[in-house]
Amino acid sequence: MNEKKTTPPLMFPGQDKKDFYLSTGTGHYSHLMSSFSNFVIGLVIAISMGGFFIARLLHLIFTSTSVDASSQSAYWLLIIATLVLSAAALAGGVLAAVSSSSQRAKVNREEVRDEVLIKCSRYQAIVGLVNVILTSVLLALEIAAIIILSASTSGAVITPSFWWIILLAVSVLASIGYLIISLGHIKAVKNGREYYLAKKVEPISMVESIVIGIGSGAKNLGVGLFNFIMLFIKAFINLFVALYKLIVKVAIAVAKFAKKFTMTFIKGTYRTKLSYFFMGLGHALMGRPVKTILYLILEAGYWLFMFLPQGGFYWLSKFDNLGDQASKIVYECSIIGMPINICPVEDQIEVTVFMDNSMLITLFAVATILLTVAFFALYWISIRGVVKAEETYVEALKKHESTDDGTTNSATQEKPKFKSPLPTFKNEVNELLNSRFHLTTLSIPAITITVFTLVPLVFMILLAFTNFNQQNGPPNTLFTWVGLQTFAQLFTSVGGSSFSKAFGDILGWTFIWAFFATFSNYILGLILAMMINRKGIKLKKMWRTIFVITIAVPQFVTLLLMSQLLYKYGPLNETLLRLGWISEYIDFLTVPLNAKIAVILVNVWVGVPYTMLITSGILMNIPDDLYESARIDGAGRFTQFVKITMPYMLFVTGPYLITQFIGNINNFNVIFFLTGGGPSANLPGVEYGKTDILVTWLYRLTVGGAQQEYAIGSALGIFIFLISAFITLSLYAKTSAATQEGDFA
Amino acid sequence: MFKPKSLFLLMASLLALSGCGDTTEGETVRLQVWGPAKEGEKEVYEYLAGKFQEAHPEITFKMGFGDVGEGDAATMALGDIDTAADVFMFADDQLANLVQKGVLNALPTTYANIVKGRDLERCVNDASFTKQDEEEKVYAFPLSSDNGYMLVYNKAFFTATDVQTLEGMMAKANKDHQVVIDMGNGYYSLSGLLDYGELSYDPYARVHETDFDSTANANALQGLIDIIQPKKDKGFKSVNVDDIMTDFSDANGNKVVAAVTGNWNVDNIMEELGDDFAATKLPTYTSADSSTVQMGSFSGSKLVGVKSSSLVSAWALAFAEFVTNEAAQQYRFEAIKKGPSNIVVDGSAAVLAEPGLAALDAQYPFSIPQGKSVGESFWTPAASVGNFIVNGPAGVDGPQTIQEQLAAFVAAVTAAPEV
Repeated sequence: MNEKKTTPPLMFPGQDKKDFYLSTGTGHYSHLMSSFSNFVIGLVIAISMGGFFIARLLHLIFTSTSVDASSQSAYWLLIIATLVLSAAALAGGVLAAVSSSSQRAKVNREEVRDEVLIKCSRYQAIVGLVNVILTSVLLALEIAAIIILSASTSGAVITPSFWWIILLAVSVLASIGYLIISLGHIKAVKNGREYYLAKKVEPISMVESIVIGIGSGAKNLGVGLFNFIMLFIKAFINLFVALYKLIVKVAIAVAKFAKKFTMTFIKGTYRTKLSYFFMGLGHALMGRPVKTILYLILEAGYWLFMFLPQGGFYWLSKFDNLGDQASKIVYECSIIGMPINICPVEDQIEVTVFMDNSMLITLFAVATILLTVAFFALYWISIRGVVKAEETYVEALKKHESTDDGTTNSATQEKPKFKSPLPTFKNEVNELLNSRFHLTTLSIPAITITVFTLVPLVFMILLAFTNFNQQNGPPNTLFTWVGLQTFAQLFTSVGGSSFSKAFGDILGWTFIWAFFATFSNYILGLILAMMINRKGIKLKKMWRTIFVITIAVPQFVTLLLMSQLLYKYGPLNETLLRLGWISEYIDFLTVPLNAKIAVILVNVWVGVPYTMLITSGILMNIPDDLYESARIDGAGRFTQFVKITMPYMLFVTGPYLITQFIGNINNFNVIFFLTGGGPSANLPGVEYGKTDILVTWLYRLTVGGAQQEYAIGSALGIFIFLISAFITLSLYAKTSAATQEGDFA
Repeated sequence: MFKPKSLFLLMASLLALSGCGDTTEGETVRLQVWGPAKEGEKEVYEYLAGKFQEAHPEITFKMGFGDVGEGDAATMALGDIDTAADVFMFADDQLANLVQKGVLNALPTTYANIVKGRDLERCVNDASFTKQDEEEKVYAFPLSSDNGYMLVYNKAFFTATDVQTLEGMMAKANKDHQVVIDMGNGYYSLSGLLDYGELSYDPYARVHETDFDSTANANALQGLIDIIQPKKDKGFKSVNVDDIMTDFSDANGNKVVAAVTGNWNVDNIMEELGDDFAATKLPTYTSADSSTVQMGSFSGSKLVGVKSSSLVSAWALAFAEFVTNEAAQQYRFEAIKKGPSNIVVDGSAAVLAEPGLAALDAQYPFSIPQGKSVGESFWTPAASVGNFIVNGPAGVDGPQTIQEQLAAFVAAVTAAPEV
């Protein structure tokens, strides 16, 4: 115990008390650190609570809500109390820091070390105690204020804010931890080191380790948050760098290809040159006409398709402005059998003939372009085929022409007719069915993917650059290209009532929902799996089966049943009312906050069986001796969980968690079937609900209601894709699965 | 995708030409019709289709019937006009949309005069539209006139005097015998003001014009709140009437004794109530400044439209006119008891004897035409006002008084839509 620790840890979960107290008890540095942390806690409380209450005060002043006197005075009391207590916490922190540093010089002298340590620890204990009292009182005041003010008849002026309550609760716990540590310092020094050098070694209790864990967790959280933000910034920059590199690569590749294309023509024989104009003609000139005929049919088919009326060029010509005239009127006679030229005016029917349909133009133009690309690929393959075949053919021809290849018939001095060495059509078909069968079978999926996936995908992406909505769309109006205007509409605010406010709200809720949904499912599934896995639980398989049975019911059936259950006049409310537990119907799904909580909880019901199964399997794999040695070293249950179970679990299920997070960002079913997007937000002009996530809002904008904002829906879809891809790529690279693969192998 | 389309256009032009030329004997005409199949409508259609064929024996009609409800017909026609039916039934609130998107063209003058001559004025109004820089023209054939709502109540529980005022009804209603108005639905939620205040819709600018945020109107709704809120769930319930249909019956303890609903539910409720069934116009209530306010409602009609790009438009018009003429309306009323739009049939004793239809007639002076008064942006803000009336403020961030809520409503419905 003679060396001073240069970087003493703030808290050391898992370590034996002896080492812990001794190591932190002797270093003056650690006093400074703990005082500093106390200072920080005080500062955080002061700034946040003070600032928050001041913000509420300003809100109260600047909104014209009438607040009755009792509410006002309670409000003022709250503000004053907060400011005073925050100032006190701040002062206490400063005092502790100052006192510790003032004792610093004395600590180095052995003879007064114990005294000094006790004194400093006493200061810290007092400060810690005061902190505990402060934060607890603040927490109690906050809760009391909320209860009082929401019961006042003029309506609650303060929104119950969970974040502040959580912050306060964490502060309380951290302060308690600090207090315990300070007391521990005193105890350690007072009882002398001999006490702890004796055989008795007490492991740190559960409560202590939780508190210590929270403290270090708070520190890690800060560091982690910082790294997290840096990660995203770096990933964002990397995205643009990678994009730039990609564009450069593509440009180079295109240039190279163009060069090859022209060089093949220039350097080619007459066969090759002809094949550039008549696809595959070279093969006929080398004795394989069937292949040529097939290629020529393809070429003819393509050009026929392009030039026919209503064919490729027709659509491409309309592609630049997506149509000129949507419809025209012709006249018919309503008197059956009378030609129009003698029809009286009052009997004439206006018949509309629909002409340009912007949507069909886009779709067919895209299909034409993709077809052209496919045809061009085939065209290039045919040319390459001719070039390659020519090599073998010319070589064989040369050999045949030279006189000494041993085939001359000595009797007649004639040579047998030259046989082309190229494979015949029959051979080629045989090859395609045997050695090159993979090409044959892959061609079908290639075609179907292009038609059913690629064409619609490109079509929808292009829609985001148009102004397709109810007013500008078929049948009798055209839409046209507007570039990035649709995206601008999503992100900027025009006139107060706009898509951007809705977008911001929904984006925020989407992330909150995805985080809580993934987190809650994972932790609860893990806890459930751990509980079932404990030694001493009988009938493990039965418990697992019971919890897994909920998977048997299809998810959307469960969700629909839940939405019926939670309906305001539904069975749950009726039962509670009849039992006398509530006196009024509870609005589960029609009040925004309740709806949000309900959605998360129902998602737990639906999702926990899956995570329980996954984590069960992984838990059973963790070797028991890790736990044994931890127990011997004195680690508590919580410490074992945090230091052994969680890292192993996170390593194995890291990618799974990311997938779940992205999946929950797009989790349409749960939100839609439970609340349908939730209670309406009542924003003038743009319709959305308070539990809407991006995909449900997309549904509502396009086909769910009468809005038919297809262009905006498409832009939203592209944005969702960008978010998902971005998060996946940046998070995956950082998971321990990618970086620590060696540790757990 | 290209060849069929060009062939199709070729055939279409040929057919169009053939429509103008002589119709030879034995020709086949294909006509596609959309209409609801439930509630006996399909049988009515089949009967009328048969009669139409008899009226024109020289032509063979191949008529296909698609089960498309009135609410869906407009959406489906707008979605893909080429596959839409030649003749379809729709509700009049879609008329503006269909005309502006070119799905419906104005009827030829002869047909328009026929409609004006034989149908109720309000139905003709519902079927008319004024395009910009044009005069008002008729765009569809009226089919029925009973889109709207009224008060249905249990005669054994309320007297005729009770149901004249909302206060009278609330005085008698309690936890076990409730009055139902679906205030969460924009269709019913503002009935307190539909007669008292002003509301109209401009389909070109797509904004409403309304004075619902005036002090008088706010006071009126405050009066409504003062009557309803104390009795929430203790005499007044705000749910969808379809969900509580069986609560009318004696077997269920008459949990519901009155409801605001339309003619479409009258048969079901009559089944539940039997002889205790009664229907009347909506009641009045007292506003916060002590004036008496009559509750208003929406009125509307069902229409039969002919697709603008129909290849057999002459026959389609003939058929549409046929299924909405007097004989057809008489048959329709007798078969399924829907409110007719024909003047003669509507005035007949049998129609006047129907309680639902009589109540709608009584309510009509206090109702506004739905198609001309509201557009798409009306429904959600109206539902919010309804929720406010029943539940009070939704949260601490939203409007806290009815005046504020109405101001928010007016802001929402008069907001110029995003282009």
